[in-house]
Amino acid sequence: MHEDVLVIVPAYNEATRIGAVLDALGDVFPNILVVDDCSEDDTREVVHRHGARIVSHPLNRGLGGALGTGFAIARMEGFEYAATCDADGQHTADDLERVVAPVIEGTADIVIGSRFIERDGEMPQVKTLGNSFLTTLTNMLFGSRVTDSQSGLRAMNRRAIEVMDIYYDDYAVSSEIIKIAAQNHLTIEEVPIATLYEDYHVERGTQVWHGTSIATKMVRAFFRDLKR
Amino acid sequence: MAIHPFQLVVVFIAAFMILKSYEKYRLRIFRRWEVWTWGALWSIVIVFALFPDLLQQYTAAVFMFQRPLDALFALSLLVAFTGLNLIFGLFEQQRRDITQLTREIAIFNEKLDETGSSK
Repeated sequence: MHEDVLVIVPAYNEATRIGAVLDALGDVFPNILVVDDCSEDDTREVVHRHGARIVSHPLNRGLGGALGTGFAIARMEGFEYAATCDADGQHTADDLERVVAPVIEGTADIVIGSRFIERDGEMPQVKTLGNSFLTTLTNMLFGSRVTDSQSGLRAMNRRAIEVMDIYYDDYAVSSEIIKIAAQNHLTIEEVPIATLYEDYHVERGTQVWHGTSIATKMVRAFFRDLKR
Repeated sequence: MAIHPFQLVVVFIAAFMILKSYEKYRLRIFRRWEVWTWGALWSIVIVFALFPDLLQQYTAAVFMFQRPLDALFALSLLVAFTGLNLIFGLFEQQRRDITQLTREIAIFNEKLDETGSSK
Protein backbone atom coordinates (compact mmCIF):
# COMPACT_ATOMS: atom_id res chain seq x y z
CA MET A 1 0.00 0.00 0.00
CA HIS A 2 1.27 3.46 -0.91
CA GLU A 3 0.11 5.58 2.00
CA ASP A 4 2.34 8.54 1.23
CA VAL A 5 0.97 8.94 -2.30
CA LEU A 6 -2.02 11.18 -3.00
CA VAL A 7 -3.72 10.02 -6.19
CA ILE A 8 -5.51 12.97 -7.77
CA VAL A 9 -8.42 11.99 -10.01
CA PRO A 10 -9.94 14.98 -11.85
CA ALA A 11 -13.52 14.20 -12.83
CA TYR A 12 -16.20 15.87 -14.89
CA ASN A 13 -19.40 13.94 -15.66
CA GLU A 14 -17.76 10.54 -15.16
CA ALA A 15 -20.56 8.81 -13.22
CA THR A 16 -20.54 5.78 -15.52
CA ARG A 17 -16.78 5.15 -15.26
CA ILE A 18 -15.37 6.52 -12.04
CA GLY A 19 -16.73 3.79 -9.75
CA ALA A 20 -14.68 1.07 -11.44
CA VAL A 21 -11.59 3.33 -11.46
CA LEU A 22 -11.88 3.98 -7.72
CA ASP A 23 -12.37 0.28 -6.97
CA ALA A 24 -9.28 -0.66 -8.96
CA LEU A 25 -7.08 2.07 -7.46
CA GLY A 26 -8.39 1.68 -3.92
CA ASP A 27 -6.76 -1.74 -3.47
CA VAL A 28 -3.28 -0.24 -3.88
CA PHE A 29 -3.62 3.46 -3.07
CA PRO A 30 -5.45 4.34 0.15
CA ASN A 31 -5.28 8.10 -0.46
CA ILE A 32 -7.41 8.95 -3.47
CA LEU A 33 -8.69 12.46 -3.99
CA VAL A 34 -11.39 13.01 -6.59
CA VAL A 35 -11.57 16.62 -7.72
CA ASP A 36 -15.09 16.94 -9.11
CA ASP A 37 -15.15 19.82 -11.56
CA CYS A 38 -18.81 20.75 -11.03
CA SER A 39 -20.24 17.64 -12.69
CA GLU A 40 -23.85 17.71 -13.84
CA ASP A 41 -24.38 13.96 -13.52
CA ASP A 42 -24.14 11.62 -10.49
CA THR A 43 -20.34 11.67 -10.23
CA ARG A 44 -20.43 12.96 -6.63
CA GLU A 45 -22.92 10.30 -5.50
CA VAL A 46 -20.90 7.52 -7.15
CA VAL A 47 -17.70 8.72 -5.48
CA HIS A 48 -19.44 8.88 -2.08
CA ARG A 49 -20.83 5.37 -2.60
CA HIS A 50 -17.32 4.06 -3.26
CA GLY A 51 -16.03 5.74 -0.12
CA ALA A 52 -13.45 7.96 -1.80
CA ARG A 53 -12.55 11.46 -0.73
CA ILE A 54 -14.05 14.18 -2.91
CA VAL A 55 -13.52 17.91 -3.30
CA SER A 56 -16.16 19.63 -5.46
CA HIS A 57 -15.61 22.76 -7.49
CA PRO A 58 -18.67 25.03 -7.34
CA LEU A 59 -17.84 26.13 -10.92
CA ASN A 60 -16.52 24.17 -13.88
CA ARG A 61 -12.89 25.23 -14.39
CA GLY A 62 -11.44 22.51 -16.62
CA LEU A 63 -8.79 19.81 -16.27
CA GLY A 64 -6.01 22.23 -15.30
CA GLY A 65 -8.17 23.87 -12.65
CA ALA A 66 -9.03 20.48 -11.14
CA LEU A 67 -5.41 19.26 -11.15
CA GLY A 68 -4.30 22.56 -9.64
CA THR A 69 -6.73 21.98 -6.74
CA GLY A 70 -5.31 18.49 -6.27
CA PHE A 71 -1.72 19.78 -6.18
CA ALA A 72 -2.71 22.56 -3.75
CA ILE A 73 -4.18 19.95 -1.37
CA ALA A 74 -1.14 17.69 -1.74
CA ARG A 75 1.06 20.68 -0.79
CA MET A 76 -1.15 21.74 2.12
CA GLU A 77 -1.33 18.25 3.59
CA GLY A 78 2.37 17.53 3.11
CA PHE A 79 2.16 14.45 0.91
CA GLU A 80 5.54 13.06 -0.13
CA TYR A 81 4.25 11.98 -3.55
CA ALA A 82 1.35 12.85 -5.80
CA ALA A 83 0.00 11.01 -8.83
CA THR A 84 -2.61 11.97 -11.39
CA CYS A 85 -4.96 9.51 -13.03
CA ASP A 86 -7.86 10.03 -15.45
CA ALA A 87 -11.36 9.22 -14.19
CA ASP A 88 -12.55 7.65 -17.44
CA GLY A 89 -10.85 4.28 -17.01
CA GLN A 90 -8.10 4.93 -19.53
CA HIS A 91 -5.42 3.81 -17.08
CA THR A 92 -4.96 0.70 -14.98
CA ALA A 93 -3.87 0.48 -11.34
CA ASP A 94 -0.89 -1.65 -12.44
CA ASP A 95 0.28 1.13 -14.74
CA LEU A 96 -0.11 3.69 -11.97
CA GLU A 97 2.05 1.54 -9.70
CA ARG A 98 4.67 1.36 -12.44
CA VAL A 99 4.59 5.15 -12.82
CA VAL A 100 4.84 5.79 -9.08
CA ALA A 101 7.76 3.38 -8.52
CA PRO A 102 10.62 5.58 -9.91
CA VAL A 103 9.64 8.63 -7.83
CA ILE A 104 9.52 6.52 -4.68
CA GLU A 105 12.89 4.97 -5.56
CA GLY A 106 14.21 8.49 -6.07
CA THR A 107 15.40 8.09 -9.66
CA ALA A 108 13.17 10.89 -10.98
CA ASP A 109 11.25 13.94 -9.78
CA ILE A 110 8.43 13.43 -12.27
CA VAL A 111 7.39 10.25 -14.07
CA ILE A 112 5.04 10.23 -17.05
CA GLY A 113 3.24 7.14 -18.25
CA SER A 114 3.91 7.06 -21.99
CA ARG A 115 1.62 5.34 -24.47
CA PHE A 116 4.19 5.66 -27.22
CA ILE A 117 7.18 3.69 -25.89
CA GLU A 118 5.85 0.17 -26.35
CA ARG A 119 2.67 1.09 -28.22
CA ASP A 120 0.66 -1.50 -26.33
CA GLY A 121 -2.84 -0.89 -27.70
CA GLU A 122 -4.47 1.22 -30.38
CA MET A 123 -4.91 4.98 -30.41
CA PRO A 124 -7.01 6.62 -33.16
CA GLN A 125 -4.78 8.04 -35.89
CA VAL A 126 -5.99 11.61 -35.48
CA LYS A 127 -5.20 11.48 -31.73
CA THR A 128 -1.76 9.98 -32.41
CA LEU A 129 -1.02 12.73 -34.91
CA GLY A 130 -2.24 15.48 -32.59
CA ASN A 131 -0.31 14.06 -29.66
CA SER A 132 2.90 13.81 -31.71
CA PHE A 133 2.53 17.43 -32.81
CA LEU A 134 1.94 18.72 -29.27
CA THR A 135 4.75 16.58 -27.85
CA THR A 136 7.21 17.84 -30.49
CA LEU A 137 6.13 21.44 -29.85
CA THR A 138 6.42 21.02 -26.06
CA ASN A 139 9.90 19.48 -26.42
CA MET A 140 11.03 22.23 -28.80
CA LEU A 141 9.77 25.10 -26.65
CA PHE A 142 10.79 23.85 -23.23
CA GLY A 143 13.80 21.64 -23.97
CA SER A 144 12.22 18.44 -22.65
CA ARG A 145 12.54 15.00 -24.23
CA VAL A 146 9.28 13.22 -23.63
CA THR A 147 7.35 10.93 -25.96
CA ASP A 148 3.85 11.54 -24.58
CA SER A 149 3.27 15.08 -23.34
CA GLN A 150 -0.51 14.62 -23.09
CA SER A 151 -0.60 11.57 -20.85
CA GLY A 152 -2.88 11.85 -17.82
CA LEU A 153 -0.92 9.30 -15.80
CA ARG A 154 1.90 10.96 -13.88
CA ALA A 155 3.65 10.81 -10.55
CA MET A 156 5.84 13.35 -8.80
CA ASN A 157 7.79 13.83 -5.60
CA ARG A 158 7.55 16.58 -2.99
CA ARG A 159 10.07 18.79 -4.83
CA ALA A 160 7.86 18.78 -7.90
CA ILE A 161 4.61 19.19 -5.94
CA GLU A 162 6.02 22.37 -4.36
CA VAL A 163 6.51 24.07 -7.73
CA MET A 164 3.32 22.84 -9.44
CA ASP A 165 1.53 26.18 -9.53
CA ILE A 166 -0.76 25.59 -12.50
CA TYR A 167 -1.59 28.59 -14.72
CA TYR A 168 -3.83 27.04 -17.37
CA ASP A 169 -7.31 25.74 -16.51
CA ASP A 170 -7.80 23.50 -19.54
CA TYR A 171 -6.04 20.66 -21.35
CA ALA A 172 -2.91 22.80 -21.76
CA VAL A 173 -2.04 21.70 -18.22
CA SER A 174 -0.37 18.52 -19.53
CA SER A 175 2.22 20.48 -21.49
CA GLU A 176 2.44 23.04 -18.69
CA ILE A 177 3.48 20.38 -16.16
CA ILE A 178 6.39 19.49 -18.45
CA LYS A 179 7.22 23.19 -18.85
CA ILE A 180 7.28 23.68 -15.06
CA ALA A 181 9.46 20.58 -14.67
CA ALA A 182 11.92 21.79 -17.30
CA GLN A 183 12.10 25.31 -15.86
CA ASN A 184 12.76 23.99 -12.36
CA HIS A 185 15.39 21.50 -13.58
CA LEU A 186 13.37 18.53 -12.36
CA THR A 187 14.29 15.14 -13.77
CA ILE A 188 11.59 13.61 -15.95
CA GLU A 189 11.38 9.90 -16.61
CA GLU A 190 8.90 7.97 -18.72
CA VAL A 191 7.60 4.46 -18.25
CA PRO A 192 5.58 2.54 -20.83
CA ILE A 193 1.87 2.16 -20.16
CA ALA A 194 -0.95 0.53 -22.07
CA THR A 195 -3.19 2.51 -24.41
CA LEU A 196 -6.84 1.89 -23.63
CA TYR A 197 -9.10 3.63 -26.12
CA GLU A 198 -12.81 3.04 -26.54
CA ASP A 199 -15.45 5.10 -28.36
CA TYR A 200 -16.17 6.78 -25.00
CA HIS A 201 -12.59 8.09 -24.83
CA VAL A 202 -12.58 9.19 -28.46
CA GLU A 203 -15.70 11.30 -27.99
CA ARG A 204 -14.35 12.91 -24.84
CA GLY A 205 -10.71 13.81 -24.19
CA THR A 206 -8.62 16.20 -26.27
CA GLN A 207 -10.21 17.17 -29.59
CA VAL A 208 -8.62 18.91 -32.58
CA TRP A 209 -9.71 22.39 -31.42
CA HIS A 210 -8.27 21.64 -27.97
CA GLY A 211 -5.00 20.75 -29.68
CA THR A 212 -4.76 24.06 -31.52
CA SER A 213 -5.63 25.91 -28.31
CA ILE A 214 -2.92 24.01 -26.38
CA ALA A 215 -0.36 24.79 -29.11
CA THR A 216 -1.25 28.51 -29.07
CA LYS A 217 -1.05 28.66 -25.29
CA MET A 218 2.33 26.92 -25.20
CA VAL A 219 3.79 29.33 -27.75
CA ARG A 220 2.37 32.25 -25.77
CA ALA A 221 3.78 30.79 -22.52
CA PHE A 222 7.19 30.48 -24.19
CA PHE A 223 7.21 34.17 -25.17
CA ARG A 224 5.79 35.24 -21.81
CA ASP A 225 8.67 33.48 -20.10
CA LEU A 226 11.15 35.14 -22.45
CA LYS A 227 9.85 38.57 -21.39
CA ARG A 228 10.54 37.82 -17.71
CA MET B 1 -2.64 82.23 -36.36
CA ALA B 2 -6.34 81.59 -36.97
CA ILE B 3 -7.87 78.90 -34.82
CA HIS B 4 -10.70 76.84 -36.18
CA PRO B 5 -13.57 76.11 -33.70
CA PHE B 6 -12.97 72.37 -34.24
CA GLN B 7 -9.46 72.75 -32.81
CA LEU B 8 -10.88 74.34 -29.65
CA VAL B 9 -13.35 71.46 -29.24
CA VAL B 10 -10.47 68.97 -29.38
CA VAL B 11 -8.49 71.02 -26.83
CA PHE B 12 -11.48 71.11 -24.47
CA ILE B 13 -12.06 67.37 -24.80
CA ALA B 14 -8.37 66.64 -24.15
CA ALA B 15 -8.28 68.98 -21.14
CA PHE B 16 -11.42 67.31 -19.79
CA MET B 17 -9.82 63.88 -20.19
CA ILE B 18 -6.67 65.01 -18.34
CA LEU B 19 -8.81 66.31 -15.46
CA LYS B 20 -10.81 63.06 -15.48
CA SER B 21 -7.58 61.01 -15.26
CA TYR B 22 -6.45 63.13 -12.31
CA GLU B 23 -9.86 62.65 -10.66
CA LYS B 24 -9.52 58.87 -11.08
CA TYR B 25 -6.03 59.06 -9.54
CA ARG B 26 -7.45 61.05 -6.61
CA LEU B 27 -10.13 58.37 -6.11
CA ARG B 28 -7.38 55.72 -6.27
CA ILE B 29 -8.85 54.13 -9.41
CA PHE B 30 -5.72 54.99 -11.43
CA ARG B 31 -2.15 54.49 -10.34
CA ARG B 32 0.48 57.20 -10.68
CA TRP B 33 1.96 55.82 -13.94
CA GLU B 34 -1.50 55.56 -15.47
CA VAL B 35 -2.37 59.20 -14.79
CA TRP B 36 1.01 60.27 -16.21
CA THR B 37 0.57 58.14 -19.34
CA TRP B 38 -2.92 59.47 -20.05
CA GLY B 39 -1.80 63.01 -19.24
CA ALA B 40 1.09 62.75 -21.71
CA LEU B 41 -1.10 61.26 -24.45
CA TRP B 42 -3.82 63.92 -24.15
CA SER B 43 -1.17 66.68 -23.97
CA ILE B 44 0.20 65.46 -27.31
CA VAL B 45 -3.35 65.66 -28.69
CA ILE B 46 -3.61 69.31 -27.46
CA VAL B 47 -0.30 70.23 -29.09
CA PHE B 48 -1.27 68.68 -32.42
CA ALA B 49 -4.77 70.23 -32.25
CA LEU B 50 -3.31 73.70 -31.81
CA PHE B 51 -0.47 73.23 -34.30
CA PRO B 52 -1.73 70.85 -37.03
CA ASP B 53 1.20 71.73 -39.32
CA LEU B 54 3.52 70.27 -36.74
CA LEU B 55 1.72 66.94 -37.10
CA GLN B 56 2.34 66.94 -40.85
CA GLN B 57 6.05 67.80 -40.47
CA TYR B 58 6.59 65.41 -37.58
CA THR B 59 4.89 62.40 -39.13
CA ALA B 60 6.63 62.98 -42.45
CA ALA B 61 10.06 63.34 -40.86
CA VAL B 62 9.94 60.64 -38.20
CA PHE B 63 7.48 58.01 -39.38
CA MET B 64 7.80 58.57 -43.14
CA PHE B 65 4.07 59.15 -43.45
CA GLN B 66 3.26 61.70 -46.12
CA ARG B 67 -0.23 62.44 -44.81
CA PRO B 68 -1.24 62.91 -41.16
CA LEU B 69 -4.26 60.70 -41.88
CA ASP B 70 -1.96 57.74 -42.59
CA ALA B 71 -0.18 58.35 -39.29
CA LEU B 72 -3.54 58.54 -37.53
CA PHE B 73 -4.58 55.24 -39.09
CA ALA B 74 -1.35 53.52 -37.98
CA LEU B 75 -1.68 55.01 -34.51
CA SER B 76 -5.29 53.79 -34.25
CA LEU B 77 -4.16 50.27 -35.12
CA LEU B 78 -1.45 50.47 -32.46
CA VAL B 79 -3.89 51.77 -29.85
CA ALA B 80 -6.45 49.07 -30.76
CA PHE B 81 -3.80 46.35 -30.50
CA THR B 82 -2.57 47.67 -27.13
CA GLY B 83 -6.17 47.91 -25.91
CA LEU B 84 -6.88 44.32 -26.95
CA ASN B 85 -3.73 43.17 -25.19
CA LEU B 86 -4.76 44.98 -22.01
CA ILE B 87 -8.26 43.50 -22.14
CA PHE B 88 -6.78 40.04 -22.69
CA GLY B 89 -4.50 40.54 -19.67
CA LEU B 90 -7.46 41.60 -17.51
CA PHE B 91 -9.49 38.63 -18.74
CA GLU B 92 -6.62 36.22 -17.90
CA GLN B 93 -6.27 37.73 -14.43
CA GLN B 94 -10.01 37.36 -13.82
CA ARG B 95 -9.90 33.77 -15.02
CA ARG B 96 -7.09 33.03 -12.57
CA ASP B 97 -8.91 34.78 -9.73
CA ILE B 98 -12.11 32.80 -10.40
CA THR B 99 -10.16 29.51 -10.43
CA GLN B 100 -8.40 30.43 -7.17
CA LEU B 101 -11.71 31.35 -5.55
CA THR B 102 -13.35 28.14 -6.84
CA ARG B 103 -10.44 26.17 -5.36
CA GLU B 104 -10.64 27.86 -1.98
CA ILE B 105 -14.43 27.39 -1.78
CA ALA B 106 -14.06 23.69 -2.72
CA ILE B 107 -11.43 23.12 -0.02
CA PHE B 108 -13.42 25.12 2.53
CA ASN B 109 -16.62 23.17 1.76
CA GLU B 110 -14.78 19.87 2.16
CA LYS B 111 -13.56 20.93 5.60
CA LEU B 112 -17.08 22.08 6.47
CA ASP B 113 -18.49 18.68 5.42
CA GLU B 114 -15.85 16.91 7.54
CA THR B 115 -16.73 19.03 10.57
CA GLY B 116 -20.45 18.48 9.99
CA SER B 117 -20.13 14.72 9.64
CA SER B 118 -17.85 14.38 12.70
CA LYS B 119 -20.42 16.12 14.95
